[in-house]
Amino acid sequence: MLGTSLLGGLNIARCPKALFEKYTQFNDEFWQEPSPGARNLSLGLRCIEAVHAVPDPRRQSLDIELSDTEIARISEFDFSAFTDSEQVVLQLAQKIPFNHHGISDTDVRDAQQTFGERGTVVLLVGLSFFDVNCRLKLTGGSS
Amino acid sequence: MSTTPRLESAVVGEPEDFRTVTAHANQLMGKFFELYGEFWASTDVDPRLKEITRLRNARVTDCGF
Repeated sequence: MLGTSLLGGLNIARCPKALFEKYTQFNDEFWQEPSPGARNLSLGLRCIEAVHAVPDPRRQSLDIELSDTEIARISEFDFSAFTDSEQVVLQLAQKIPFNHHGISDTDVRDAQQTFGERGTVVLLVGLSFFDVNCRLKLTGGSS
Repeated sequence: MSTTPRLESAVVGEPEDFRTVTAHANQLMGKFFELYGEFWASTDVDPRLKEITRLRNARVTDCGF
């Protein structure tokens, strides 16, 4: 299922089966949502990985491939070459891990105008979840 | 403060809060609450320790919930 590979780096052997199943089902649900869409979610995920300086981003296993140039730009937090809607995602994603109180009314309004109420909820919950994934891996939850 | 909703309630007649705002994505949040419930129902980690961790996490992240 699209997005399932997001969890590929997690060491499932350490996780109770029932808990991991619900973790996977929750993750899969993001990628079923029509908005903000898989590419935007992938961009947000990559940006959060960049904030956390994840040493080996799983770009090869993501279903939505990002180019090496795009990944390099995200790693440098240079969002200028991305579309307006993609920049909305990237600006939010950059703030989620360590500057979530820096998310402004304007940031949220831009997301709402771009993705609608439902898409904004999916985006904000998704970015928060991706942050959890990164922290879990970086603190010993990866295989 | 991040606990002030910046999106409208999805539940007619009810004010904006975490539940009514996230209700815009009902199916997704349903999966979240299944996961959250499983986490708290699981006894692999002592419930007291989980609650202490939750409170510490909220303090560190300045979460109002």
